Amino acid sequence: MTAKTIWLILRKDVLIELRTREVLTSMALFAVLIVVVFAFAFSLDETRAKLVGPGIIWVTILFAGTLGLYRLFDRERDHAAMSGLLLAPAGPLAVYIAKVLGLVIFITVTEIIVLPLMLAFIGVPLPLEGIPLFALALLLGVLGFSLVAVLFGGMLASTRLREVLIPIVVYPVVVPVIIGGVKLTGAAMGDGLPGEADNWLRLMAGFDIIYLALCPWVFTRVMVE
Amino acid sequence: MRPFVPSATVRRLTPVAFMLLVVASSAPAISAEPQRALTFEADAPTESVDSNEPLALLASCDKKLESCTTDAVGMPYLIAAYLVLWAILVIYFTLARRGQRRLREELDELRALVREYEDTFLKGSEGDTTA
Amino acid sequence: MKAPQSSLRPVFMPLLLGAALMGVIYFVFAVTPREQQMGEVYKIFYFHVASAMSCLSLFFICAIASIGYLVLRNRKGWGRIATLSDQVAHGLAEIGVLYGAIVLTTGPIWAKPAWGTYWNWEPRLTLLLLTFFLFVGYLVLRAYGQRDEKVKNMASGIAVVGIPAALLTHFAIQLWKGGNHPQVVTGEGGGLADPAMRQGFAMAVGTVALLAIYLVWMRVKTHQMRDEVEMLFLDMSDLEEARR
Repeated sequence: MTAKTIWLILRKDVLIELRTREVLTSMALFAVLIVVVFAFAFSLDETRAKLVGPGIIWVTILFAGTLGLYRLFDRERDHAAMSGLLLAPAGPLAVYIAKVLGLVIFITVTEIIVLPLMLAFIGVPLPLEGIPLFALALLLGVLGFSLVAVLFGGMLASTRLREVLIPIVVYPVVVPVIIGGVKLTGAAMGDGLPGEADNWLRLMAGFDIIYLALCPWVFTRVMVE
Repeated sequence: MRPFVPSATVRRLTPVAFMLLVVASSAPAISAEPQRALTFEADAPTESVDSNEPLALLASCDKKLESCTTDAVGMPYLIAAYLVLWAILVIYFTLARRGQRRLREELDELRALVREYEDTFLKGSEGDTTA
Repeated sequence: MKAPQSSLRPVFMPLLLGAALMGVIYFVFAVTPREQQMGEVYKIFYFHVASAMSCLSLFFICAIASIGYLVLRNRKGWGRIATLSDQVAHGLAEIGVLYGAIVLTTGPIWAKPAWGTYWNWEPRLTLLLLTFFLFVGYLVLRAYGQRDEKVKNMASGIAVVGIPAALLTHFAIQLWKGGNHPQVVTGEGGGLADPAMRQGFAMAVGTVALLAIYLVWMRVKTHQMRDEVEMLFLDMSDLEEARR
């Protein structure tokens, strides 16, 4: 029952996206623009790119992800669609999981489109053997961000202050993931100490596990009338 | 006997008086500090220095001077920190207290109003039933 | 009309606590010795660290109270305890933010003469800053809808999610860089060598915590009064409705 509801909600979001393509285009465009602005702001050259490149990538993911989050829940606001979803047989849990999966998919697709461009713009060399580590970092980071972001996004979507409140509460919570992501990206680009990457992977995995357990509980507790 | 009720002015002035009291009593602690800092040297080994040895004397003087400079440099920061501490606490307390008092007045008024409404309503309904 | 004692009594506790605070400050300045490396500036430490400890404890207890609220709010017969724990959580968050403001202003003032910079991204300072932001968001949300049931739920959710994040952030930044915050309390940095220092520190911690408890209690009472005002408004509109 739960799996079916999750699948239905997820399918609905993906189908709408395939027909309108508004979330992905806005996220991708926004991400590219951020990178361009950063490139000008830091007047990037080769040595500086290595220093700030990982940071730029993760800030871009963070901002584009926030944009995607807004769009993902904007749809449910009209005609109180969110309340309808919450009344689904599997309840808030299914809504939460479906939305997390949706956000992960959207961010991942955006990254696949934008990352080659970003790497070219910033000019950081990503060696072939660094790609698995980079991909793992992205996966863990995006999952961690989505878990927290969807919890707060779903909770606060109905308030008037959501554009202000969501970043205020999401960003402090996801700081460990961002630090870990930046460090692992640096390691994938051949920076940092050899044993360090393991610690960061462990930290990010720990974050994901903790919030995988905590966020669904909080979401159901908060959203149930 | 009529209980003692401080007038509105007294009540309004209480937080101000409290504030003044707080600032006044913490001021000596802060302002007394520079003099003590300059005279009191717990860690400069003044007794153990042999006064016949100029180098050791010089070194102890240097040390004394150094700690004096450290204290002199740090003093404005120390004073600023304690002022900020008191300012934040006192301002917050005063504002919170004022809010609480207003709320209490509002609550008293509302209670009286509700009682009045209830009375008139009950009377009115009784009138209805008898009629 | 007004109860005579209600206008006199509340001044007693703050006066007592203010006097205690001044006593501790006197002790810190008059009795505790000068620290060798940092000099007299070191005396910011007593209240800076005491406030930081209280601040984090307040946030932590706020999260626990929020869990209590979320668990109990739909249970039959637990409604009043749930409401109380929600009010307490709100008060704890407010005073936590107040203490956070104290820590975040005295911290840089201490850091400038002691380390030469106003700010560095040291684990505990950053942890406190981020938790502070999170709870500022909490208070913004609370101010947005005072009696709204949904707002209460959301605020509790924020508090519950925030605490593991704080711990993880601390861990992450410790991993990120060693940090040069003096490990005074655990004794690694060699501070608090003098028994008078330890005594003064314990006094500061105790007084600051007592003050926090008093302020939280005051805020809880304010929230209770506000809830009652809302309820009386509802009663009045009901009565008006019935009279028509």
